[in-house]
Amino acid sequence: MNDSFSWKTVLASTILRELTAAISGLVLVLFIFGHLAGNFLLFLGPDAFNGYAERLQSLGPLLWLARLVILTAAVLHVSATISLKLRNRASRDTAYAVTRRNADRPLGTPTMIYTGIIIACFVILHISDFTLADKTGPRSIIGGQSLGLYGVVLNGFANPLRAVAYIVAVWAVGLHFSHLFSSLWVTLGVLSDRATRAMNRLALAVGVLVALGFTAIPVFALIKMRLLGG
Amino acid sequence: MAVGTISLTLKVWRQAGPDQPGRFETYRAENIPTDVSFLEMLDIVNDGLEREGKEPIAFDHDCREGICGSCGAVVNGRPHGPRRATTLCQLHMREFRDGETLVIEPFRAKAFPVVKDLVVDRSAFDRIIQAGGYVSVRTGQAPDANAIPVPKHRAERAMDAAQCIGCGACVAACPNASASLFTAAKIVQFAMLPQGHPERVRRVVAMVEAMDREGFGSCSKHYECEAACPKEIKVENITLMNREYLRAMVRED
Amino acid sequence: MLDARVPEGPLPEKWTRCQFEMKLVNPANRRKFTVIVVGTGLAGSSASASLAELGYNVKTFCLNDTPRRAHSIAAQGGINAAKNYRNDGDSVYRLFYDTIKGGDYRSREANVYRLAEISVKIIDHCVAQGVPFAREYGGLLDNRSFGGAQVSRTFYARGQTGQQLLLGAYGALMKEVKAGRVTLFPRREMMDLIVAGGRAVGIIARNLVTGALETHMADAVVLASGGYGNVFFLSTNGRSCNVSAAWRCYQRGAFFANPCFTQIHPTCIPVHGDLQSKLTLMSESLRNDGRIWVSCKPGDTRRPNDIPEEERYYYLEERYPSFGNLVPRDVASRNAKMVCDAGLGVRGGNAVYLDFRDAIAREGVAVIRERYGNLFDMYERITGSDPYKEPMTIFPAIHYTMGGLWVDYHLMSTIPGLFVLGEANFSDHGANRLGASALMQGLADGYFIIPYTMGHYLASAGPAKVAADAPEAREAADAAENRIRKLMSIRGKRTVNELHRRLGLLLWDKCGMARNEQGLREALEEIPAIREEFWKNVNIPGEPGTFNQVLERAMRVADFMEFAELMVRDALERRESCGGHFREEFQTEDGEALRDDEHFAHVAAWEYNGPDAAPRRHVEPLVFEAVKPSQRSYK
Repeated sequence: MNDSFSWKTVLASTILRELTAAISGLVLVLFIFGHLAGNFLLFLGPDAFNGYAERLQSLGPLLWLARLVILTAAVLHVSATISLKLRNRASRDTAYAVTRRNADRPLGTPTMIYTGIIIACFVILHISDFTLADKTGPRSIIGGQSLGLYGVVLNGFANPLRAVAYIVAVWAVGLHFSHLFSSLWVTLGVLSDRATRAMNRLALAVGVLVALGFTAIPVFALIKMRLLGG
Repeated sequence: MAVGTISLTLKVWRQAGPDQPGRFETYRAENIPTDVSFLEMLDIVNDGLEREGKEPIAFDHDCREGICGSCGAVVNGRPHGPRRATTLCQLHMREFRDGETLVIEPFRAKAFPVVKDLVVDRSAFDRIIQAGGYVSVRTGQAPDANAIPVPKHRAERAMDAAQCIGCGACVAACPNASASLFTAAKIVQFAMLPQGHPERVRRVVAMVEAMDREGFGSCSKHYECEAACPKEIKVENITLMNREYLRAMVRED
Repeated sequence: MLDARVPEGPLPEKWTRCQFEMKLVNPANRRKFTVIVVGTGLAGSSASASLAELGYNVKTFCLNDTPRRAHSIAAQGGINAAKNYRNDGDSVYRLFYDTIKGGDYRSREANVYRLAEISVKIIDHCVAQGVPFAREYGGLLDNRSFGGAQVSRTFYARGQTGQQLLLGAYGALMKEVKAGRVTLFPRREMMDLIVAGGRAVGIIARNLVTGALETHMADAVVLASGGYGNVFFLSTNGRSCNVSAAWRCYQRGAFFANPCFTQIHPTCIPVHGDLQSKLTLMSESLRNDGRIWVSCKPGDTRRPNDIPEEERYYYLEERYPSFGNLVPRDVASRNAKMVCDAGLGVRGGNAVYLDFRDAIAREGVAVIRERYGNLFDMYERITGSDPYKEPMTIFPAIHYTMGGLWVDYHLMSTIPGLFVLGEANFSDHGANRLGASALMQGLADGYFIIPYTMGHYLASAGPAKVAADAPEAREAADAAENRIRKLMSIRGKRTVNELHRRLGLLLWDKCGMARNEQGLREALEEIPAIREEFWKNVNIPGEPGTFNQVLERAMRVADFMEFAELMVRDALERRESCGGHFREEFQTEDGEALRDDEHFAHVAAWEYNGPDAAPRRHVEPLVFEAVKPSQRSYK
């Protein structure tokens, strides 16, 4: 053991990249939870929801700081996971003729790259769809009246195609999250074997809960716009 | 111990050398007694090949009692075959049904190049150990064996990890061909014992670096390594390796 | 003419005195010396590491893909050390005494005393290396009694002591590889020893991957290539264990000592059929709780649990009341053979019961599972029968060979500069090895003896200064190449395994657990015939310049074919029974081994006389100053 401790080595290691992916993932998840909590205000009507949106906007520099953190996390998350994925693919140059899964483990794990790509596409769509939307333009009008962002969201989901696309995306988020929830403890080196296995068993349920929470919003919008006529 | 016989179809990976192309060849294994081991079944097939003047299937093996770690192949997608906690040499043919087809492939990883047929080069594991899988004690330096007490539960956990036979099934099973379980087992053995503590920072950093340098993948927690490990070494060791690694980043002992 | 170089002085002072009298090599000069180590089991790995730590330039060879796979890894039970941690009366002297007596007074007192003396340092060193020995709740080391010892001096790491000790030595070796003082040559087989100017100066090795022959020169050679149990075809040895390296040294002038001393281990899983490739040992520790019995009715076909208590013959307990099931290995094995020969074996065959019913009733399943769980699981995997519910069946099998190349007190053979360590030498176990002492000997030789004696040799003999293109080196390389060419050109009809099995069955039959003059003479007739068939009719597919596992095996079997004859010859000449060597003509009235100390209290060391002449038998008399030989009794 002649090698002395070197930050260069540590920063390039797979363990640190896994850790980066996990922590940035965690930041993104925390953001998503906050976002979800805010979005639940939709259920309380346009005033509550738009008020929340305006308050967020009024934070000014703080909002930009938050956005910077989220953006950094997203960049780190994507670069760490993509670099690991490429490395991991290269680590077996000849594929097995027969592959099978022999371990009991969360469904999310083998599908991470697919759910990740769906989520990345979704985020772009989502930002252009809502964040960058004209909040007073034609898409905000319900019943002849501009309801601001509330209107944009409800009108958006009134289109079943978009609603279904969103539902698919949030289920990808749920599945993706279930992997984070199961693997985080190993990556962080924190929990005991028993606790980690308990988390593994919980992971899918937690992922489903998250997905259901997000599904509630387009479903709410669909019902409200289609069945109740706005 | 009723002894019957079964007949099988084998699809075996044949590859003359590291740079040669490989392909599957089909063989019949006829009237195999169910109380012979998997390797003895291969011996029988090889015996037939030798009698025909053909080159037998090359495979690594030595102790044939599940401890040396030489043997190993992937049978129908499972390293060391279908029985849990069992090396190929201790797998007996009573685990298979008459008429079954077995696809037998070498452990596949870029860091384990094929030497011939089912034989792979696992010297990458030696280089990981060289990086720090030991306590740097010289012969003659040791204090009395009972000078440093070790709590029983920690000694037991060290032993759980130390049971690794270095067969490479963890790498073979991992979708990422990661050597995390192998590396972690050695790191944890020494992390559990006071004798390992003076070098724990350097050890974990150096061994993980060596593991990465060999071209193994990372651990994305598929748990396949644990399912394939003939010594039932747990993923918990990877948790502890990661903990050691984080600890190394914040403390310098 | 055999000078064992045993130092003068009282037994306990010999080693200390020897260490002081030996010459030293200046630390700055050590790196100028190159030492070759062949083999990476306990002895080879520990020797490589310790010599490298001193600063010598070490080249280490092993035939597996990595040093960690050497067959020492398979040792299960434990390692003895005279620590007396149990306060039960153990001492260096008692360990020495037990080992001499256990070896049936056929080992050298001075060597055995040194072994007992060093045993305590081995445990210290292995613990410091991070070997996870079993511990008690107080955090200190646990001990158990093993193999019939009446004190608890055995240290263990579950049922994998050999593995843990070997991985410790392997770690030390890897440390020195990293430091650049050891160069590792895996997947190499030693083909010949290069002797020039009357000393060992190198080896010819075959690269098993490419088939290339390599010449490696050095100032001294350490042979730690293990035992020759595989001469019997079926044994508990790893499949690649062989006699070839030792045999080549013998042919270059090293004497071979006591080849007929082979150990039959009493507790192995019985042979199941003709297709079996190896035998599996079940740790001797099982005899601590298991009771050995057979049915009183010959050829009894009932299931064991259906045989009532009064129809069970607990033959060891009855014949040896004080040691019972814990008699030494040779005694336990021979008794199993006797009851099976009398038709009392399981279903009239070659197996006896090892029964845990009473132990489970006494201690509970949980305790038994904790003690032997991994062994029970292994048994179940191999046989498909559950030992918690039904007795195990066991039978003796070849396990260890006490004979080996003759070495003096410095562990040097009759070729100067060729040192022989571990199972490959003959030195410490006499005619029978006690349980948990093979690991002790391998590590004593490698960690604590060779570092001193090698220094003395190199300081006395100086550098070898023989080039790789010297005529002696070229001659050895040519000999190896010719042997390979000759084997490859046969292209006959018999497989290597088939001929090896034939040899093995013959030896098991005539030179196994019991031997007699007539059988041995028959074997001496039959071995050359099998050997001739081999050289005329063996078939080796493939090419020599490739990874060719059949060729590897063929070369090893070719050497077994020659070695077997020496083993039988030695058994024939030793007209007494001692330890693992039981000559039916020499037994007491109740069937115990009858030693002849007057005529055979000596080491028989065989000198090679060329391919066409009989080998010459030399004698090293054994002098017992401290322990007076007596009839071993375990009654």
